[in-house]
Amino acid sequence: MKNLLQYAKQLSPNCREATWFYSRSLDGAVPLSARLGTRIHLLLCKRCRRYSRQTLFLRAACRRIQNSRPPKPHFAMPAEMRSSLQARLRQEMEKM
Amino acid sequence: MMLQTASELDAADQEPALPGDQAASLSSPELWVDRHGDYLFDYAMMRLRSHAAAQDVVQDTFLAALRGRQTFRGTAGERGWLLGILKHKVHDYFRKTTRQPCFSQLNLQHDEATDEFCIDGLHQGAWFAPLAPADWPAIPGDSLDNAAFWQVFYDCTAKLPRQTARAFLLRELDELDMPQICSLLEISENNLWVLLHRARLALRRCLEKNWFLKLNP
Repeated sequence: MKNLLQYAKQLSPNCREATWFYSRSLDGAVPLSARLGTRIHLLLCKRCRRYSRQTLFLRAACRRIQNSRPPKPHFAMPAEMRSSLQARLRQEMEKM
Repeated sequence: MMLQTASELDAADQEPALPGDQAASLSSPELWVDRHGDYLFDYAMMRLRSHAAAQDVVQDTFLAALRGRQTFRGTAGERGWLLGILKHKVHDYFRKTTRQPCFSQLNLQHDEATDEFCIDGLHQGAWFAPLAPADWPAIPGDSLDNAAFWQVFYDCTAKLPRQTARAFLLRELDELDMPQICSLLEISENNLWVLLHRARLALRRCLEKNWFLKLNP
């Protein structure tokens, strides 16, 4: 009985729950009833549909950084850091 | 004949031709900082968001590479090899610091914590209208070619609480699977789902406010 109620609840999630299950579905398996409920909710709810598209966009953006073709955020190494690193490497090589 | 030329061109594109008789030889360590320093530093900054921490892991990477020169096999090129070492150093850093409290971010976390969803009333669990997702341009992908977008993207990830940001970056940037991230950050899978969901909600909101709504006011 308790299970049945839980299924019924998962079949009609509100926005908070639908976005939660949607996000979870990107990282692993979601129970069937929740998956179905989320899909139905997305069909009916414009805001959650946007949320799902935008979440996928975040993922695509990250993949893009990975394949790092410019332009992307760029942090050049500060000059002092560069010279201190070089000094450290040289010092280490002399020890060898 | 054609095939050979194409693959030669490919190889030339990925890695500047190295002097020396073998393709798989390393350049002199003195040149590493000039050749790969910016790339490695950028990689570390994206994940650690701190100059000091990024400097530490990059330095550790170069030193480890210097000591382990014999292990270089040349399959991934010099930069790929260094990047592989750096990746481990970053994960080690996460592991080392995951239990340290991070006081500076407690306030920020609190400020940004306004809930996107109605807590009670008739619409309990529905989007709180002022914070609901707005319509983004039809092709948000266009922004990915814009350097200014990436500055906003970075600033937004930098505003996330530390553990939340790490969970998100490990998942979406490094594409680790869930058990790996759980053990790195020492959290349960359920906890990780919560962090990832929070990160997505917060990033979405931050990008919308600071980028997409400013595009076409």
